[in-house]
Amino acid sequence: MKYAIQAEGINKTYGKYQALTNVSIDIPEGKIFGLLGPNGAGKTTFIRILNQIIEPDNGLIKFYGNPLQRSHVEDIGYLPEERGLYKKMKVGEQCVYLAQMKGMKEKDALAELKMWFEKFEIQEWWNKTVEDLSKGMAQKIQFITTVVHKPKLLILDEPFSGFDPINAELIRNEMLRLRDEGTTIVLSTHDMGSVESLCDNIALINRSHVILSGSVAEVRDSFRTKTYTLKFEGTLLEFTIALGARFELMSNELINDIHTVTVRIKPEFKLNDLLKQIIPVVDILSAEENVPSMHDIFVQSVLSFNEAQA
Amino acid sequence: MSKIGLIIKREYTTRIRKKSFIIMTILGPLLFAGLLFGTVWITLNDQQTYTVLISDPYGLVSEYRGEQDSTLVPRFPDQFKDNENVIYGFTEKTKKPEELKEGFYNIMIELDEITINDGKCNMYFDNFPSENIQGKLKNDLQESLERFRVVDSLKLDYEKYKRAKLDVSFAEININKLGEEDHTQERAVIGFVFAILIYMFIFMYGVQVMRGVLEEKTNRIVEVMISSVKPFQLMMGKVVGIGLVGLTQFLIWVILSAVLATFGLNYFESHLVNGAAVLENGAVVANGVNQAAMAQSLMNNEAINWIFLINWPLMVGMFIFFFIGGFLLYASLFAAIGAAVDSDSDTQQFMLPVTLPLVFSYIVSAMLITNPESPIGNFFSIFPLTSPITIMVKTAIGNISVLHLISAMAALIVAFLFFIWLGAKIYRVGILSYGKKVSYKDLWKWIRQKN
Repeated sequence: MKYAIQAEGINKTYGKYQALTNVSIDIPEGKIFGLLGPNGAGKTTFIRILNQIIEPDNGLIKFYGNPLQRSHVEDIGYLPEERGLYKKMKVGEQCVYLAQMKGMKEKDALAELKMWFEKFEIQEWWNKTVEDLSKGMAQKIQFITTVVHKPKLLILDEPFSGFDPINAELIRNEMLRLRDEGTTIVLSTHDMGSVESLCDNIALINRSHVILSGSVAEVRDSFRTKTYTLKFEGTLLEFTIALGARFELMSNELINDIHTVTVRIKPEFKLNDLLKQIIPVVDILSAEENVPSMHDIFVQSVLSFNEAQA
Repeated sequence: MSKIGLIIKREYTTRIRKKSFIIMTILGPLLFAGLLFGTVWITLNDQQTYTVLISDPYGLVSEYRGEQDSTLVPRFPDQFKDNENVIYGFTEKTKKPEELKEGFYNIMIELDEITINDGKCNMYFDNFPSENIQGKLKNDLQESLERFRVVDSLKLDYEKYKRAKLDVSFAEININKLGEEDHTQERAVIGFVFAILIYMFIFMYGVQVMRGVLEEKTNRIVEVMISSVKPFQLMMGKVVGIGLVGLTQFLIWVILSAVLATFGLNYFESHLVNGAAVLENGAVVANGVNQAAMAQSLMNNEAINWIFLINWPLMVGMFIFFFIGGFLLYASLFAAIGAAVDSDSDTQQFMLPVTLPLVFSYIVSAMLITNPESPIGNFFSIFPLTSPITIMVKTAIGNISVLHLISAMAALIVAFLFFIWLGAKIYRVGILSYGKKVSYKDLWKWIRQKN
């Protein structure tokens, strides 16, 4: 696999405060990568190191295979969590300025911006000053200025905060489109819903350490508990007898003559084995694996890491 | 264009286009000229008329006009002449000061029997008279009393006494520049004007740098910017851009002022002749900027020649060098302050140590007018935090060696490199620090912190 970013053994301290401890993160090329972690864990520090805003104390970062260097800032688009614009400046002028800061020529910037303004249907904003825009409008402008120079790597820190659902959907679709066109996207967020729907890979940083990383499927797999939720009509007694020793009843509930039960299957068995046992005795309405949500994985990992440290 | 060039361009063009800049640029010289000429004009045209009653029970300066006439007149007809500002009257009674409030007179001068010996007398007033008016009153009294002493007590011929009397004045000649008069004080005043310009420039535009940095920080645009350029480039782009705005404004001021000054001088040449009488009598105003002396000099081509005693090419060269050097030094400190705080109101605690040397150098410069050779002046015209302002006075006076100039310039270069470095260290950490009230201890930590 090709990597956009390969970070190896990154340490960063501010005085006595350790912000990153031996952090190694590989970000695959052309994928959406979720950078997760509680507040103050070190995500922003890591992002700032990628943007060369700060330097790591030690460790190595490769950008598309080469050691990260100054000229790479033009291949990166960064939307920080704390983001803003020059309030007194005209929207269009400002977009051109920020594009030039990323190394674009004025002419190219104008052409590219025209395309984006048409796409977002905001052409009439061009000559407005930023202070006349609403927060949501300003965020669209910020997104455009982040992607206008066609960066190979896009780093978005909480991109959806402050957006209404319509605009969030717009940004989400743009992210997917950019990924499909080959852009690598680092998404730092607390919104686990968007992690599940967008991210291909994740890393979870907690208290300056990477405590979990891999593809979303792998991570989820490792957190599978092999418990299933079944709904059936029949008697609970017969159902319980049918389970035998290989399957364990965790909970049950009876509503309107329908039983909802949770069953744990021993590792060496499958759902089919369970079904074979119970089909003769009850009428099954549904059977579903209890897959851990990213939210659960996040909470569980952080808490157990913190307990282990304490 | 390079990125720092783009930053400079943005800082420059957004400010040049502001209404406030255009207004200040046009109004500035008008205000300045108005202030300068206004004070001179007011000094020369003291509109108020003073009615002065001389209470003279011992007949020191007044006498009856004739045997039958009970009107008191000056003893010597050529003295106590009324003019548009002063009307004299005499009485031999001693009046109570309270009576002054109702009557015709608004000043009363009381001569008693000792006055003739020690020259002291009480002046009662409702409105304190200006220096000019006081000068005329003292002059008239002094001459009259002198005449009384010469003629009545010493029995001398007054005309002979007058011929014998001598006023001593110095023609100041520096032994290093024999053959020319020095006019040190007048030159110091010119130097002081330049010093004020640099002082104003550093303050006005230094604070603009601080505001600009603070604005970028509170707008949260700064993190986007430093993901494209280095914090140092962003800081220097702002400092240079705003410095250029200041230079532009200054150049426009110079041109506008030159135009205004031409008009102004024409006006004074035609109108000042009237005021000459007042100035002759008027005491010299000793309040730093010697307006009376300046106005007097302006009227008279011979007197204005001292202006050319100033080494103008050196003066202009020094001005530009210390103007730019001083600005770079202070602007980087102001930038660091803007980066360290979260809001305008928090800037105060860090402003003091930056503004203190500025204000101090202003005071030292003012002091140099009255005491040009002061060793304090020598020190502070080399010390880089004060030299940009103080050295202008020294250069104008001309009592400054080449070695002194070179040391001052070298010290300034070293200092601004150091302060830019120091400012940048604070700046680069400060712009990303939000929400915490910063102390001097934090600043020290930031300076030592690796990037």
